[in-house]
Parts: sequence; C-alpha cells; structure tokens
Amino acid sequence: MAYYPEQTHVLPLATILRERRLSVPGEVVVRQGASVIAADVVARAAASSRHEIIDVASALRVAPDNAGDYLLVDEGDSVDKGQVIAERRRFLGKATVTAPIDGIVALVERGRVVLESAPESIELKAAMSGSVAAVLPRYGVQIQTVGALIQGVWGSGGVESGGLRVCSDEVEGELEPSAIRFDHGGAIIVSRVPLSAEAMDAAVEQRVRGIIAPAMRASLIEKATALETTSIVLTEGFGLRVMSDAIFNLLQDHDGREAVLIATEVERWQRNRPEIIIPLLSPSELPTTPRVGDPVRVGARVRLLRAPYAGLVGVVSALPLRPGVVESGLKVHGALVDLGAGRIVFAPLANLELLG
Amino acid sequence: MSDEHAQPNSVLAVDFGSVTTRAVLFALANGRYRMVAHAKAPTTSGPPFGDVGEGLRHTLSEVTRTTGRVMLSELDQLLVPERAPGVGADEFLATASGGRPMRAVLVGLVPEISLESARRASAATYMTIEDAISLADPRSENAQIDAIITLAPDVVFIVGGTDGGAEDAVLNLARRVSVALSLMEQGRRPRVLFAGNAALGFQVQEMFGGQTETHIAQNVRPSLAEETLDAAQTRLGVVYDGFKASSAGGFREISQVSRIGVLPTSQGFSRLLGFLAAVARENGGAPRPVLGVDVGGATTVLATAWEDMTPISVRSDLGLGQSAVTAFEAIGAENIMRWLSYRLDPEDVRDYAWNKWLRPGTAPQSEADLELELAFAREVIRTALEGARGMWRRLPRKGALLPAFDPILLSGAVFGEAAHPGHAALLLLDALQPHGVMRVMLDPYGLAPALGAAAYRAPLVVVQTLQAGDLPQLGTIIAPLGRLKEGDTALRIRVRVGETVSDYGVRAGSLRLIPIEADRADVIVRPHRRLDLGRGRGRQVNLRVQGAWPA
Repeated sequence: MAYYPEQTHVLPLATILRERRLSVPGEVVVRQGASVIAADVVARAAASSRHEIIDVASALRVAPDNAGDYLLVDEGDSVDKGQVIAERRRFLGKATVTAPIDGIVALVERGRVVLESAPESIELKAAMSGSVAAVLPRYGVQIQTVGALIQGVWGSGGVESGGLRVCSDEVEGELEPSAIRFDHGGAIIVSRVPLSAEAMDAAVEQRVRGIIAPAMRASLIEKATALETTSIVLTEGFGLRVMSDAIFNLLQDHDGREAVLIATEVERWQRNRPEIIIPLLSPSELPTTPRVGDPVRVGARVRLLRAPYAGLVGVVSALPLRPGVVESGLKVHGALVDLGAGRIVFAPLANLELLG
Repeated sequence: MSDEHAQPNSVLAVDFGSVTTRAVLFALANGRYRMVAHAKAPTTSGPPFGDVGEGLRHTLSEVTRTTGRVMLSELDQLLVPERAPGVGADEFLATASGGRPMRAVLVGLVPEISLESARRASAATYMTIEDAISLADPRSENAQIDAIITLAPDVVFIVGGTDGGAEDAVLNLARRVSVALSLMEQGRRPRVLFAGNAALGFQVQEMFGGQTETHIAQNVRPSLAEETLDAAQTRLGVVYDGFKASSAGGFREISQVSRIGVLPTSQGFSRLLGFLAAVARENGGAPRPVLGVDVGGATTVLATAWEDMTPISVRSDLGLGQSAVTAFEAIGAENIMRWLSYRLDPEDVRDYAWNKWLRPGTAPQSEADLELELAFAREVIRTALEGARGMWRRLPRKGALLPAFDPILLSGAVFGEAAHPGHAALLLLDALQPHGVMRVMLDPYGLAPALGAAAYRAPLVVVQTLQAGDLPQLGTIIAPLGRLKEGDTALRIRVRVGETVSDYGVRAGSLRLIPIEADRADVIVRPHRRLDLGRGRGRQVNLRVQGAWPA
C-alpha cells in the first residue's frame, strides 16, 4: 500500500522557486530575468475599502429614473470632496449635491451615486533574493534562488532578513533571556529549545529581526503575532519540544550567513508553510528543485510527529504489509523507523513526515 | 449500463474529507449489491498536491490492488461507466466535507424570525456565517455594502418576508447586496440564494441574474408560524457544489464526473439516516427518531430523522483536526481535563489543540495522547449537542431530555477506528448520556456518506448494503431514567440464547457489559420500580438483540 505523507523540506542546497502574488490585480514592476533582493518591490496595486452612497434623486427631489439628467459626473470620474456632482436649476436658485469624500464615481444606479474612496497603495516585496523567473501579469512574479531551504510549521507573519546566529544549543529547558545578547541585534537567532515569553521580550529589546525556535506555548501566539519588528518561525510545533537534529545541524552549519525568514502565517485551510532560505552561491550547474509527492519508501528519511517519538528523525527500515498495534492500542498501518544506535520503533504512517 | 434508468452494475462513491479520502465500491453479485472494496488515503487538497484528484488516484490504486478491478485509464481518467465487466464503475458519486467551508453573509428582515430560519438552513452544510445584515443592523447602508465587499463571501443568502407579506423592505435589502456586487470584480462576486417572500422570486432573479449565479428556493418562512428549510438546504447543496467546483483543489473535474455533483457529506449522511428511519417504519416497530453522530477533523455533524423530518446541525468549528483550536476555544481546557485519568497542565491541552490543527491527520500513539483525544471528542460532541437541541423541538421527548433515539449511528475515525469497540461505546455514553433502549451502529469503513449519496441514484445499493450488515451493530444500550440510591439493584436482565439462560443484575451508578456471543438473543429487562426504560416506571421491556461487532 503506497502512502503519501506530508513533507517538510530540509535541504542543504536546492533551486528554490517561489511565487509572490498580490491579492488584487495591479501592476508588476519588475521584468523577467531581473535580479531582486528581499526588500525590492515587485508589484503594486491600489485597493479601496470605503464607499459612500449619495441619494441624488432624494436630494434633488426628482424621480430616481430622472436623476441622471442632473448628474455632472459619469462612472469612472474622479471627484474631490465638496465638488458638485449633481445640480438642478429652479426658478429661484438651484439645488446641488456635493461629494462627501475624495474618490471615484464607481456606480450610478436608480438615482444614486456610489463613490469609492481614493485607493490606498499596496506594495508587494520580493521577500527573497534571486532572479525573476516568470512574471504573472497583473498579479506578481516567480522568484528563483539557490540555497539551503528549511520549512517551518508556524510563522508569526512578516518577512525578515539578517545574519543567522545560533544563540542556544542547549537541549533542555526553555530559551533563557540571557542567551540573547546585544550583538544579536539585526540578526535572525536560532534556539534549539522552546521560546519563552521572557526570551521573546529580550529579543524585541535587543532588536532581533527574527527568531527560529522549535516550539513555544500556544498561549504566546497572540503576543508573537503582535510583534512589529521581530518575526518568529517554529520548526516543530507548540509546547515544549526541542528542535530536530536534522534542522538544527543545518542551521548551525550556516551560522553567520545571511538568511531570509519568511514567517508566513499558516492559514487554516491553505496549509501554507513558513520558510527559512539561506541563499548560497550558485554552483555551475543548478541543483534540483525539491521533490514533492513521493510515497514513503524503505530508506526514506522521516520525522516522527507524535509522542512518544515526536520530533525524532530516522530512516524507514521496513513497511509491514499488515497493520500493527501501537502503544495506545490503535491498530494501524505503520513503518519501522530506525532512529539510530540500534533503536527501531513502529510508528503509524499517519505520524510520519518525509524530510527532504 | 446502457440505459439511464437501468440499475447500475457498480457504484463508486468517494468522500473527500478534510483529512482522509475514502472510496467505497458497490457491485452487483448474484443479483444483489455488496460492498466489494473500501480504501482510504490522505486528502490532497493542500500542498504539495493542491488537488484532491491526487488523493483520489491514491485511493483508487488501493481499490485496484485489493480487487484487481481497474478504475483509471492509462491517462488517469476515471473509467465511468464500466468499459467491460470489472473495469471501471457505472456510477461515480462524490461527497465532500474537506477544505474551507463556504463563507456566507445572511441578509434578512428580522434577526429573530427570518434570519434565524436562515441560520438553521445554513446549519445543514459546510458554511461559516461571516456577517448578517437586517433591518435591526445599526450600521449605515454604506457600511453594510463595504462589509460585503471586504468580506467577499462565497454566497449571500437572502431571506425575509412571509409569502404575500413584506416586499419593499426585502427588495431594499436585496438592492444593497446588488450594489455591493456591482462594485466587486466579476470573479469575486458571491453567488446569491434567495429564499424569502415567494412573490419576489422573479424580481430577485432579474436583479441578480446579470450579475452572478442566482438561486431561488422556497421561502424558509412562508408564514410566521411555519418554517420550511428543506428546499433552501437542498439548494444550498447545489450552491456548495458550484463553490467546490470553482475553488482551487481539483473539485471541478470531480463535479463534472459525479452524477450528483459534489454533494455535501452532511447531506449524504442525513439522507442515509432518512433511509434508516424508513426501514424502521417498514419493519413495523414503534418508530423513534434516528440519530447520527459524525465527528471529523474539521466538522462535527449531528443529524436526525423522524417521520418526514431530517433536522441536521453541521458545526464547522468543532472537530478533532483542522477545527481543534476553535473547538478548544468553545470548550475550554477544564472541561476536557475532567475526562483524564492523569494530571495535565491546561497549557498542555491548548498546545495539543494547536498541534492537532497543524497536523490534523496524525494518530494518537501513546496511551496518554489517546485518552486526551477521546476527552476532546467527548466534549466536541457534548458541545455540538448543546447547540443542536433547538432543532429537535418538534421531535417527541420528555421536557428538556434528549429524544429517545434508536438506532444511533456513529461515524468518523474516532469511533470507526477506535482501539477497542468499548472506547466508541463509552464515548457515546459520556457525550450524549442517552436514555431508554437503543441500538448503536458503527461505521468502521466510512460508508455513511457513500450510502447517502447512493440513495439518490441507486436506492437498492443502500437497502441491500444495510441488509448485508456492512454498518455493523456495536451493541444495544439499556439506560434507565430515574433516581436511585447508588448500589441498589437498578436492572435485572435475563438473556436467553437458544436453551441457555443467563441472569444479570446491574447496580445503580454502574456500567455493566453483557456479552452476547451469538447472532441473536432474547433479552428481558426488569427495571426497578422507580426507573423507566421508556415504557413507564418499573415496566418490563422484552428485546431481541443482535450480537455486537466485532463478535
């Protein structure tokens, strides 16, 4: 029975292709092939969020069907606040209707005018350095880069770049505020142990741009997402989990290098992932793009997702055809996973995640 | 199958859940339909696939592996109808509960009347109500229009006015919606469903017909005293099919091949319960309401069927996976912890919910995790039950008690894949606290939505599958009602299997499992004179019960 599990990319070198897309149509301001850095704007759009309905027919005391005869503006016209948009001359003087806001005439129907407030500009940044591999007309771009790629499981929002600095390689307890020093300012720090509220405060105080931690208490989510200058990516989940060796070792290998932290907020139905990209010099031949959609096979590197083995990484040594019984008594299809040092455990297929 | 109305040789029903895609194949053998294969695979609506078709292919590969029956062409196209005996399936039926629910804005005249009916109609499918606009709404017209534009819902559900009643007020509200739609880009405009004053159907169709896909259904409130939800609920199912087909994730192709489009799983489930109620009626027993409980990763469904009514409550905020966090927020840590045999920090319960939200498909591997999962499930059902009590107003019951249901159908992995059937039974007893005598049926293969969907196209499939026992009986629950001192003998039970007679006593405040190691047994239950099993205090009940699953 082929089983297709979820996958997390933890790759020392890959060609990474990512789409950056506006939520509303706009204008793409870079060309295919252009080089960009994370802070570059690649597309812009204008979006309006407020409308005003003006009942011209009532104001001029005319039938809705006749109101059009008195309008001085058409759909699409720009108007300034106070500008006369409809006028009815009478024997003595005239009745006028003025625009209550700056904006555009969005709709005229049944004696009413709908004004759309002046739009606000939305800017879409590249979020990573690389080259523009493709332009998605009116919406955005695909950016390609070469580097190390690590996918997290939760992000607090925002995109930050800075030097990667391992600030704690402890394997027990939570991150101590004292581990975050003055010279971590402007950096993306890495902790092997869970993030505490106090450590979060210390990071903000030291102007740390990004935090990569294995986990934190879910009760800190509100505090984390409210941070304005520091972004957080978790690699394991919530609670008191330690970072998987596979992820920590890769991050430690790049201690001191520039990295981009894309702390995408995970949406309930999108299952989008936050990522850490460490751009590296492109070798003469492009490395492969990450493989996706593989089934579990003997020899595959996997991360175990649930207690009692949560976070452990191993290699699938066998895929028994018959279901087995796990500690909880559940009878499930599973895999034998070699965790090293002669330790082989049986885990449900549903609790495996491919790493690679 | 050459004739549109002929009985199909085979029916493939696939349910796309939020976590798991399940396929069930029914085929004619010796003139009767039997379930010949069932298979499951993770749903692939999310990354990296982003297409439920991939999970369908994985599931059908498993069907082929176990039966030898080829279901896909060399180009990975579903073989419908059968190309040759044993190749493909004559009918393909799809149900879905996975993915983002439809986001709706309700529009109606009076919050307590028409809007309340719209809420109840909406409870039948996978919808979240993002906003409600009514005459009582204190916001300006501008603000209401901006709210619709900003929310960009998938559907605007307009109700209001009894038949022959208010017209202008309803049309004025509808016009606000129309203005909002005019200001939205064509591709972002929501569908519109109108189920208000029947006299306005044509005008509403005219108003929105050029703007967006518009549906008209029978008024949910034809008069102040009358509520009719069925037509609006059926139409919402059609809207859901359109929503699914136009959403990313591969449902467009599924909808085109499925003879019923993509039916909400909840409607399939509800339809099956209607069938079970009809079977009970035909068997001549005193008909009682049928109850179905389906606990999934993203939603929890409580559905009933009694006479011609099929009230249903779909809770998209209560589930054990994608909805674990919203469920936790609705339930609270303390209520979950009271079911645990070990001490746990409330923070750990919150973390558990968030981790399930991140990884909804994972299974509890440790004993402690399983206990926590079952505690969560108890409270999810209990919370859904509290919200659903209103829909049972018209069902027979005593005071504030639950109606005396029979049978109760349990669906969802937490029941069907339980470590022990006793876990499923205890979960049901703790969460629902039912009373009387009732049979409990289990859905270990996720058949319920498939059978409900099959009921639309091939009702014989349902009848013959039920007769074959593919929804096995977990057991019969005997739960008396009344007060008694703990330790007193509450029930005396005599079980006769053939010539063998066994007697049991059950003390007040205790649970007792009486195994029936035979297909059938005759049981006499004598309750204490202060206890009632549904026939009056102290009145004896004679039963013929079925052996439990697994035997």
